[in-house]
Amino acid sequence: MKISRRHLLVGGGTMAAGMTLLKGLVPDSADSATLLDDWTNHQEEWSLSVCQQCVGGCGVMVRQMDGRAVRIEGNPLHPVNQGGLCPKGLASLQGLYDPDRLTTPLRAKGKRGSGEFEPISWKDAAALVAGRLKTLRQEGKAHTALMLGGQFRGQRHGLFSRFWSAYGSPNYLRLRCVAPDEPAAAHAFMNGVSSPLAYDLAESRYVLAFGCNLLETGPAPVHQAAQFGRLRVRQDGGAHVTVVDPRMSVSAAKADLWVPVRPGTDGVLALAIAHVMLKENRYDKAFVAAHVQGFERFRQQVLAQYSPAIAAQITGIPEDTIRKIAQDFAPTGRPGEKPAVALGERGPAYSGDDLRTRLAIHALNALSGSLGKAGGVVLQTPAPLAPWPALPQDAPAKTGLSHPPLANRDMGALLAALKAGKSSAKGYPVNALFLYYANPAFSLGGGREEWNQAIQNIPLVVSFSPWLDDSARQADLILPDAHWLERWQDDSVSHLPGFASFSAAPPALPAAGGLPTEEFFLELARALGGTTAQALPWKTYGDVLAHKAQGLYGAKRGAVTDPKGPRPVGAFGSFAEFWKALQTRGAWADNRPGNPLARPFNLSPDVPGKEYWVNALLAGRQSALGAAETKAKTNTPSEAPGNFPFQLVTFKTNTRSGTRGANQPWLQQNASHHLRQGWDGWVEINPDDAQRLDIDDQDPVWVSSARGKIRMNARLYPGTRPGVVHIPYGPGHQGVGRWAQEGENPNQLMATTFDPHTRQPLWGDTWVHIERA
Amino acid sequence: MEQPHGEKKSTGHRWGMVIDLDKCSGCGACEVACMVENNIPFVEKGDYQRSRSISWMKVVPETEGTFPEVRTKFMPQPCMQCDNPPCTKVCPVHATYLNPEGIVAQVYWRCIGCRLCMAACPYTVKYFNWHNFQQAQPAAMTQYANPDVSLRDKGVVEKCTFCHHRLMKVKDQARLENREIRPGEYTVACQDNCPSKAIFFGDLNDPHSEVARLADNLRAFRLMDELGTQPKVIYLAERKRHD
Repeated sequence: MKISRRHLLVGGGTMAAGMTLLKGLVPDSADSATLLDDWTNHQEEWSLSVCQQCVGGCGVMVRQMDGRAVRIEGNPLHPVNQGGLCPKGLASLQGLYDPDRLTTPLRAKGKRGSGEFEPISWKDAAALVAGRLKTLRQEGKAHTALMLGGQFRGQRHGLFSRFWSAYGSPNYLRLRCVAPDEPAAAHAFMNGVSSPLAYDLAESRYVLAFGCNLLETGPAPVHQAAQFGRLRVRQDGGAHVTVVDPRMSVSAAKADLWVPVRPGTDGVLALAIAHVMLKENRYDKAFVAAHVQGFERFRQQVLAQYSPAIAAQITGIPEDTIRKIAQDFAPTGRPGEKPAVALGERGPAYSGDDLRTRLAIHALNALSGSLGKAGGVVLQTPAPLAPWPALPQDAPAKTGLSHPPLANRDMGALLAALKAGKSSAKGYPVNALFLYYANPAFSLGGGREEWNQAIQNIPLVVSFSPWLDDSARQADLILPDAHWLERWQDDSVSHLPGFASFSAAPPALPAAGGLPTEEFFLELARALGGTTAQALPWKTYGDVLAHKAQGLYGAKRGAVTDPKGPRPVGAFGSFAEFWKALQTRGAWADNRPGNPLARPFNLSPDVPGKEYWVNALLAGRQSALGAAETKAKTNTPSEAPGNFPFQLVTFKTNTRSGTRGANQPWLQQNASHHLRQGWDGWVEINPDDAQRLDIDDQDPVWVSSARGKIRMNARLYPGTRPGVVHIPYGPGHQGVGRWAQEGENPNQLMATTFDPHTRQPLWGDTWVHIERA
Repeated sequence: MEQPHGEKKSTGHRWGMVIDLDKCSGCGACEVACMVENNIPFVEKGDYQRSRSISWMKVVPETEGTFPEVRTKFMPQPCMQCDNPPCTKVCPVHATYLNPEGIVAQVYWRCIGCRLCMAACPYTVKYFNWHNFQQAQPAAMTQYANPDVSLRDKGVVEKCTFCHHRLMKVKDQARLENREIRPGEYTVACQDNCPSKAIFFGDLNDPHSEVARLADNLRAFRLMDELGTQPKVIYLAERKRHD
């Protein structure tokens, strides 16, 4: 119980704090009287916000002393994190007070990309952007404005979307490897769902995670860690956790069983498990009869093709292990038995056959009959937020929107369209580019050269980054966003926890000089006038959130968290009272999960591709394996560069939080826990491979691919599959700040290929050569 | 056992910590929570590579075996707050001592930086300030310093204090209200922020406290107990579930 902290929340947040000078640790001194005088009358204040160091949506509390933030910690009342916070969240004050953070708008001086900038006023910057957008619209080129948004949270997405629709550009695109608010394509195909599936991990009997580093980099890491803590101490002995991953991640290390699958073969392993369940009659027959379509075709093909013997050759996992997993995972039919879940959220494959791999993993949930049960797979229900009002559109907006967008979440297509400009048939040159939470020069495969080349002919490039990051360096104008503690912050958890929640909090601190980008767009709409201004009638982003929250109040569902226990929405006398409670308590939540079985589960959905997906998966993986074997045939120190025997699989640790969290020295220092390696990047090699290449732990090596070459230290890690190497993603920025530039960015080596169906970048398709430097 | 320092007499509390390794997810939040709370400086790359970083709480990995039979265990290690601490016995200036409530304290202003205590500590959880780290850092980065905890100067040894400043605050409050400290009122930063709730903290002398109950668990063990240090940080071993 944290009575004093909760008391502060109850008391409205402000009280004078009597400071205690470390009694017992610091001896009294003659100066203490004066010190005490300086130190005693300080204003202590606690304010709330929602952490934005990742997409997890944890509620945080910030302790302020005379307006300085001096501590950040988890909000014990928040349903997502229940007081816990991960290293990223805890280090976020280093981002707030980062001396390299930009707080004034900058304009490029001289040639773009020269790295020289001069400060301009917010007024001039706004006038410049508004002027350019007005001109484009008058010239009938509204569609040539392009905004790229990254992995940011909250209702600002809807706001930007509205702005560009009212203005007349179809090119507001989001660049992110996971869209947590949308269901995975495989789930949409099989379950027919339109919101994401969620997993009740804490109550499940067996968790089978494919490539999903749940405890470190899952979609809501703190929530998942809390569930892990709960499933471990359950009265019945807890759930069995199995992690399938070529690399022994922290989650794999903490699991009961680590299955070091050959990269990209997760789908084959999943179907071999299905094979054993079908063959030994260990699937949930009642569930299949009641809810599953396309079963017979699936059964026949899986039984015909995916025997453990064949799968063992492809996946590198022994037949006995496959059988054992299937037998433990399968339901036994005992009364009161908890369900088992298979999950492949976030990157099991990231190599060819991404969609089919995820279909194979999700098929296991149907065979074990775990959908729609406590402890199984449930449906994430969206929070009943008020809809946006009708969108007014004038003729120029309609003309603009009649053009096809340059790309649809497909970065490969976008890069090609940007490079082609006028020359492609349906393409058109982009006249203004806006980057928000997006740093493509760093995050795209191929790295900065690829990106800089793609944008060289765009006359106006605007970045909203509060750091001079890799992409902002190439901008004409930088309009630094405020830190998330300095702006209205909201989040509607949309992924994995299974319950609906919504948080909204006013700025915890005054802005240091940056301007929240959403406020900039509201200003821009007013400057453009007409229907664009009508579409965004709100004075501040806080008004937008109040509008959205009216939906929660109107639905009379769920409750607002409170120290005395959740307070049902119906108990509030007015919206104003509800809205105030929401801001001062942290979150609204509704615990009822949705039903994923509103439509039958289809094991043989109609997915892109000529062949039946079960057949196509095996054929695809077999040919990939053939290619891999050819590549891996020669592997000696004398081998000429240009031959790439190692498959590269990148990963993230839980201290990497994207460009905006890159310049935080505590996170750099704590870069990895499994190796206790800080600051630099590194490449993980299996000790046997390293011995053959005469490489020792911490030796500098060159890692080269067909695309590029980087130098880093080798780490000999037995949790690496022979023939595979791993490089952490995150280090090696060009710019951002003084602490973000150590190490190398593995994207310099990456192939720029994308899955044709899911549009996911195929990070697993890169092969490298390693030699001692 | 040593004479308690100063005039205070024991209040009967004996503070201790229990860490459940089965619940621990190896995330390292405890390390950073401690850094934020206790004004622990970050160290830049050069000093990091010379092993000069300070981490009162550190999650120590232990990897055993060869592929594919590999296991890594993660063990969060703060100061073990020994009841029979080797470090206090070697201090020539009485800068480190066992206080009446069982916390091994470190008086920075008395420490002469000889580092004998670091050599004596079998757990290597005492840290030396090779520089005045904060002074060397950009001034902006000291703005988030916790005003409840002093900054340490170059040349002194520091360690986990069980967030002693929080205890002082709680005691002040209790005194104002003319009452005893309530169970659970005194918490530590690593415990508060642990995502999987693996860290428990409280009074080992209170038989009703969760820590006292967990310390009697069959899974309970103390690190290097055989040395006779009598640590008050108690671990609960991971259960074996797989064959």
